[in-house]
Amino acid sequence: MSAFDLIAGVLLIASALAAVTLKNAVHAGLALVGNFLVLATVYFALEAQFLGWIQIIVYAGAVMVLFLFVIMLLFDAKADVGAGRMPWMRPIAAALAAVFFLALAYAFSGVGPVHPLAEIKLAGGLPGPLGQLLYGPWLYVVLLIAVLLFAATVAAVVLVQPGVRGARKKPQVLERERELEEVDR
Amino acid sequence: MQATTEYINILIYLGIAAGIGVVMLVLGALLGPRKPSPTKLMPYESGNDPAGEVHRLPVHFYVVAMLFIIFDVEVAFLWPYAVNAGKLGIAGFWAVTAFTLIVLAGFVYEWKKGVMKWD
Repeated sequence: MSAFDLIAGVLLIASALAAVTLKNAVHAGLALVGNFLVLATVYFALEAQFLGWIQIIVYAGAVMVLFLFVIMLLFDAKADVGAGRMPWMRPIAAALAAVFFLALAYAFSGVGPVHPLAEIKLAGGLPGPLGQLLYGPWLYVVLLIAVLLFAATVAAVVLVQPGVRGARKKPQVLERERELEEVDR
Repeated sequence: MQATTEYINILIYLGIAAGIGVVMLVLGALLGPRKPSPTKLMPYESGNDPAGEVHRLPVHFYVVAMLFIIFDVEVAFLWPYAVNAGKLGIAGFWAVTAFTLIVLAGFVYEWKKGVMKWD
């Protein structure tokens, strides 16, 4: 284990713990951004360079920005969701997390590195060799992802359009909207 | 492993850049005059008193971010093709065209729905 492994591991676990424990949702989201950045450096170290950059561009740059948009859009930074409700859940959740961690540690205890890095030609995980796979043997998966992205676009548009045909609003929603309109006036 | 060692240069660069930034912030904090008063700490609204809370924000920001993710992922898939365009030949070209057209169909849909209009 090198110094990099140790530092990256500690940073990854610390930022992940911060993301699940911090009460302020904006702080938790930023902790997750930090986690993604450290994870990208781990990808670089494992010779998955393209994946590392995509991790930074798509996850840290696009997905987490959407998350932070939504948190701030809803003024929900200090929501502390379900804080007073079911306080006995917290120790149970912590215990289950510990059990899951121990099970994983047990499962991996006897296993060494399955494919030692020295034995496979990774070519640095650059987009060049990856493209030969993506638009070769993995083409059908890539086209399915295109369909998935199309469906995601349509869903994103439909789910936020208030005036979609056939979408009937619940009475509570209509009442809340009327209240908000009066507040605006 | 030479790829990995090149990234150490980026880490050093990030460290130096962060160091210079911190030095500038610390200098600004130490050297400026500091007389906080309730009036100075009030949010600035063109000299008026703050107008209270906003109850909702337009959903446009969410839609733009959502569409940005989708087309960002599309670019992530186009990049490995772009560096391989010659090697993949005509079959690769039709493959990437099919991929792009399917994702573009979603773009046409949201264009026709008028989601990108800001009014």
